[in-house]
Amino acid sequence: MYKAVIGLEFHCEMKSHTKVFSNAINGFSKLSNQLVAPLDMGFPGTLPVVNKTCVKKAIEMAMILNCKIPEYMEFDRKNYFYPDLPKGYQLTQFFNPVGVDGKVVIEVNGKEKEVLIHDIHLEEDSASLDHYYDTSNIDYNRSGVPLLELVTEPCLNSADEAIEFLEYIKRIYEYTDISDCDTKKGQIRADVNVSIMDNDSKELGTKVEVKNVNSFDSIRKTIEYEIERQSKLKSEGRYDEVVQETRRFDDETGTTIHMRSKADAIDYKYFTDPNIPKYKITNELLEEIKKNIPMLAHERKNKYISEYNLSEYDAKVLVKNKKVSDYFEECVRLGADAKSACNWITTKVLAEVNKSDEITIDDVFIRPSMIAELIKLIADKKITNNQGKEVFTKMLEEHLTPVEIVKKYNMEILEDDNLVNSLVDEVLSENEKAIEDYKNGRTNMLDYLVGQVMKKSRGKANPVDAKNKLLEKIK
Amino acid sequence: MSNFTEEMIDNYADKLLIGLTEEERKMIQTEFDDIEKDMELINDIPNIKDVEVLSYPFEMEVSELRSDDNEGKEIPIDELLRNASRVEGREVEVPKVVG
Repeated sequence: MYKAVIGLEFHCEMKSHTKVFSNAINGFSKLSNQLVAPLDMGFPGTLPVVNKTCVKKAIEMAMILNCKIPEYMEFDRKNYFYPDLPKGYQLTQFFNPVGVDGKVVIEVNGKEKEVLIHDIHLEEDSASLDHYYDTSNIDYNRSGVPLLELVTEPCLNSADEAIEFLEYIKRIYEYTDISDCDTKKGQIRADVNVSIMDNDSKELGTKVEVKNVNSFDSIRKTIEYEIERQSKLKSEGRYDEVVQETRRFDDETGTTIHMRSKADAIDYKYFTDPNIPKYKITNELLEEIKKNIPMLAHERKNKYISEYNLSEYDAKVLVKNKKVSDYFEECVRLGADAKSACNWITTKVLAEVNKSDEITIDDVFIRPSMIAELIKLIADKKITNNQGKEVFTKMLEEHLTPVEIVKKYNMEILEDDNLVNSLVDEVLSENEKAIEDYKNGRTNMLDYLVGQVMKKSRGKANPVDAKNKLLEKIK
Repeated sequence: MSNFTEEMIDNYADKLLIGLTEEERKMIQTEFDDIEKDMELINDIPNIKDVEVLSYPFEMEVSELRSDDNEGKEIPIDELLRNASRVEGREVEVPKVVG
């Protein structure tokens, strides 16, 4: 009914050995306040020293997003007072972000969509707070963890477009190893800006910001809820009730709730941090970073289609998750036929992964070497396709390799020609009626006879071979 | 006579999400007056509006950053919590900050 206009601010925790401005470890600890350097607590006399790996990864991301990259890396102070921020300011990039004016093209429901990037900047995370009845507790492990914040222009028009864009960005982070984007560890958060306008209007509507939405599912629900809420008010002639405000998403009700109005907006009084000297981004550094950008998801997809003749659909399924794509590539590297590997992964292996939200393909017992081994057993006609499926199931149940399963259950196809011939003779002598029926036109009796040979061989005869032998002898 | 009223100082405190005692308010008012005097001194400098904002005391840039390979020593927990007036287990405890 109305046109929705959406802009996103997407925060993502980066992977690095140490934090962005201190040399405390950037990691996950079950023990509170374990990974903390004096700077992360804002102790007097401490100074920030910028982590080179974080800077390089930030520049890499800016390059991938086709952003303009500044001559210098500089940081600014965002001043606000809150217990999760011991210094009283957050180190971020306000005046001169690492990337501005970028652009990417994504595919949404089969159509191309251009997404404009306002900027991407490197900053530090705050400490984390746990809230109790009348107290809040502070854990500084997260204080100083490197964050990349990506800000789009208000150029998205539906929840589908927003989620597709975020999936695209998440894949880049994963493929470049910039971040794991693990929602369970709270590594991603988004601020979602939503407004609506008449379809033929050129004037943007009143913008509502929803802060700190921490999963893709919640982002989708936030957008859909806000579009519906604002559209309803507009349809009822109450659009003046849509005010410029900050809201939060409530998981339990699936709605958004007022937090503060524009009048209460905090003035962060940004200024350039004088404690961090500016760092020259040289052409040599840019070249080095560019040279080392790995093959991204859409590039791998194109390779799978052109080099391995996979369908677009299968290629998309494989590259959707880097771990799955890596698993597939490892199978191929170990000599597996690409199409067979793709079939086993997309049908059987991913079925296992999809049984639980708690596991990834790395948790499945069956490794790429085993898939390659299984494919080889079938290709070498040691086992049939059907036996292959049985082997797969038993591998999962018994944690054995394909060769071990085949050996344990004596599944190898009979290669002894004399033995198969004698089994065929036995079946023919015991089934004169079936042979007669076959000769009288009941062609399905041949399948019955093949089945009898398979039964006598306990499934170990090659059914094609058995069929040929039967045909030869019936003539 | 101060240019800063009680209401103004309370408003600033609200924006910083802090509450002030009467004694603290008076102390801040005195400090603000001193700061304002210094600002007036600076404002008296001729053509001050034409001077560009200076982020660093002198022109400087670095060509090397910190290597990510070497981690430093973390603060022992008793040191980390030493300045906190209230502690719960390994964490710093503050009055509840969300409704």
